[in-house]
Amino acid sequence: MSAFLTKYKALIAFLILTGLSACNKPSYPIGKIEESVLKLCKNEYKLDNVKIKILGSTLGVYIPVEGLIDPDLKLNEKAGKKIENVALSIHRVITSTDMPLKFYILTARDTKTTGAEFILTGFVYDVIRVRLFDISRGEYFQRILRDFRFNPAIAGEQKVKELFNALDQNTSIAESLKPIFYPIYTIGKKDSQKIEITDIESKELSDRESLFYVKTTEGYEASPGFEAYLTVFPPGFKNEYLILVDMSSFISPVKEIVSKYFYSNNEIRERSLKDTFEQYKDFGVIGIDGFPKKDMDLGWFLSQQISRRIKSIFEEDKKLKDDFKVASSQGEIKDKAFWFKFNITSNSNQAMDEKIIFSKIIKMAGTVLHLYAFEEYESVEFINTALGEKKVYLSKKDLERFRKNEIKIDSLL
Amino acid sequence: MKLMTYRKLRMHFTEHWVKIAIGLALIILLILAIWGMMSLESFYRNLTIAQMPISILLAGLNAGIFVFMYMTFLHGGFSKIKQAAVKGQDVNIHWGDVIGMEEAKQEAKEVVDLIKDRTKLLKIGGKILKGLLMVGPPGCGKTYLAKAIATEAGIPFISMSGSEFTEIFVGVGASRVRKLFKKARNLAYGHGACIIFIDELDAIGRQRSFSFMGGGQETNSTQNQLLVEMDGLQEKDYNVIIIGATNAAEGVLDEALLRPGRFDRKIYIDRPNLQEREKVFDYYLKKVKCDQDIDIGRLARQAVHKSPAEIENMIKEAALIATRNQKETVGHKELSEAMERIDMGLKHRKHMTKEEKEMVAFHETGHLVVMYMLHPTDDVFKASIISRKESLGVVHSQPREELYTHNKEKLLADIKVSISGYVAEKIRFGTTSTGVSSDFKKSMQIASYMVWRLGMSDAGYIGDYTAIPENLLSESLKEKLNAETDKIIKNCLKDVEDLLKKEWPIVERFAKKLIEKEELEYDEIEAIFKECGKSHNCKKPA
Repeated sequence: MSAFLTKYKALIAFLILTGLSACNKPSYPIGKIEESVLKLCKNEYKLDNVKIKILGSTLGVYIPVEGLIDPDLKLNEKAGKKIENVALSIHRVITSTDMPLKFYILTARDTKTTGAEFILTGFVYDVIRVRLFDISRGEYFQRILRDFRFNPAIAGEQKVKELFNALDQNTSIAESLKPIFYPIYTIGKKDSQKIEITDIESKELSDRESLFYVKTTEGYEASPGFEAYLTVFPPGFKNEYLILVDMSSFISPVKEIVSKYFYSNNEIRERSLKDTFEQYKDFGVIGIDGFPKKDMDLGWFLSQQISRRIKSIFEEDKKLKDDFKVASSQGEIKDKAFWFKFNITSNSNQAMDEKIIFSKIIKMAGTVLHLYAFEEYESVEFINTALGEKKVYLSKKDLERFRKNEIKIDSLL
Repeated sequence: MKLMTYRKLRMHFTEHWVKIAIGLALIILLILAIWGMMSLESFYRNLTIAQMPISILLAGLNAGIFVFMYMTFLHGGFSKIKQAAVKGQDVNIHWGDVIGMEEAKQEAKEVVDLIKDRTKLLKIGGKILKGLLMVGPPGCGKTYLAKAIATEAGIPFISMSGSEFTEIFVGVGASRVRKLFKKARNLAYGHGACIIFIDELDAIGRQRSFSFMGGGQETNSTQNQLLVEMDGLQEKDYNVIIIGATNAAEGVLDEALLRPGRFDRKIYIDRPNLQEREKVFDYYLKKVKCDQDIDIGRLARQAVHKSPAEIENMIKEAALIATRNQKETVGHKELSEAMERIDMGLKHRKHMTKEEKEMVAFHETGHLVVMYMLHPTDDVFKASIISRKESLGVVHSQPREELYTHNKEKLLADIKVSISGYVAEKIRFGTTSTGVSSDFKKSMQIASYMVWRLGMSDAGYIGDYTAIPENLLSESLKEKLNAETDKIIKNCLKDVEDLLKKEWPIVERFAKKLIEKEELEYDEIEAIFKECGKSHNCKKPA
């Protein structure tokens, strides 16, 4: 036995090391993720207002930050440091856990400036790879999604609340709005009406527009002659409203208010606002509570990453930046089909520019999808809205062939 | 007992403090590393463990290169002693194993007693033994005896060869001597005593030479260091005994080395005598399967002047021959062949004409018959006309006993044996061959030696004339001495001629037998002579 031990010292040491690695327990096991992130933020960075929520394989982290943006609408340096610290805590936890997390979304929202938020979305495997020096830090920064924006739902909700508060004031604007809030301002005694918001749901319709489904409890005293309505609308009855807010209009952001009840053809009618609200698609990722609205998937993440990379291609290269101008870039995946819509114009308007734009973008998209070994798609469509909706459609196979230089851009255009 | 345990522990610490310090440091580092690793998050822990084999490999490689460079270039790596000390008990050679050197063994036993009873010796005011020099021809068991001393004394034993001290760089040998003695003193401190055995002492113990060109400086400095260390031992109370072994004559070694206080005692280990050889044969033959009828006495007589190592080699060779001959045991034939191979070399048959073969056969027969019938001390063991080395034939003889002086009769017999080949050729063929040249050379040398140096001429020239410078010798004296030399040869020639003519039928018979069989063994030769009613002139040993 001792001879065996002496002879195979190196092998035994290796086996011990392998054994050690096998029985290596995760530092942040399943069930302690939230607690761990909070503990790290609190103990190491003195941040005690962080909130955590896990949705499937997505870790949502929310931190309200005072003074997120400077007066010049740029990210505040101190706030940036806080975000960095929280992100570091998240990275530490997601790399040392046995929970199969795929994504993390960190939302930092300004406590003062309504709707201003910074969203950091990352793929867990990218964090591991950059820590293993498998990808460069430059590549890593291209892979994470950083959004600094005004959330129309947050700002809109504020406007909705202001609207209801305004009804109590005797202003000319309030007087003009009151008839829309049917029926209490029609059947109630003046100054006896009271509307209390019990619930608000919102949907982001675009970068600026948001739709709100508001539930209320309403009280009033019936005006003389309207006592009969007390049986239909007893004081304290439940009402609902749909309110469309467009934040691009600073003066009158509330564009439309729809009440559940309305009077038509001499009778009181009602409509299902909830059904109407449900019919609208929500383009927002982050909810009012600061957490993601749903579990992330790699397809969506890649569509967003590629759309951002499209911008960066023409903005980071000096020559391309001089020759081209990128106005917008969007991406999405639906029914296993990617589409990327961008607006890129050439400063010189040369014939070759179209080829350059598409070849650069298609090559980049193919490379990104290949690097992530993403297979869950069937086609990719590229649309340049600046070139008369010039479209290039490629199947997955063709995209791969183009990446390998097996087909030329001329055959695609 | 407690003191010895303490001393042993202290000795081990002194000797291995670097290793102990490194070991402790490694253990502390290992604990810190494990502690550090446990405080890492699992991601970095996994990463560290995954990288550990390659990290260890690279660190080991770097450390190895660094240590090699450091030891080689900065820390006298060349002077490192590779020889590790062994415990006396581990050598495991006891007095019973030492054979063929009874006198030396007795002296060695005394030495062991002195080492063991050091305290007793000190009480009566005796001088502690410091060095023991074993002198003798190679293969006589000097190293073996030293090992037996180590085993019987039960103390650590460091064995080194004199050549291990010599290097191209000046000072390296001296440095090695210093390190060797430091190590020995440490061991002596822990175990009570230590033996340093330096084999081939003459490599560093030769008389120091002083050359203006600086030659021999390294050997000188090594020897100087050895002298200092041996002297130094007397000042300090360490029981370190140096045993030196050399083949070189006493005059070769430096006088300073041989003076009392250094190698105070000398043991001469010579080749074994007849009784000792018998014991050696008996000892080694027990280690191989051999025939029951082997005559050890005859083998011992045959192996005159052979060292125990040569005897051992002979038996090993015989075992190989027996294996080659598909025999299960070693017989006299194999032993004889082995001895012949060692003494006379391998046979290689040359293609000779019938006449040449006949000439050689008569030549060798002449030697054989004269040797048998006239030689007073030597015995014929074999006659052969198979060529070996440069000779076409050979008559193998050995003295029956070691003779350290030779009388006139023996020398005359040697001359007669030498020229008998010539005489036999001349009688048989009426002419002679070139085969006599070495015989004549030998006979002339003996005759000249007898006359010029030993005063053995009949004319009464007594004294060693070679001691007188040649220009002081008169020409007439030289002529007379040479004439005496010639006279001895001629007288011998006449005696041989008379003998061979008288015994010519025996000569013819042996020659015929030799041509027929090419080789005649001792027993066959004896049988033919007995048949012819002749007996050996040789006196049987007492």
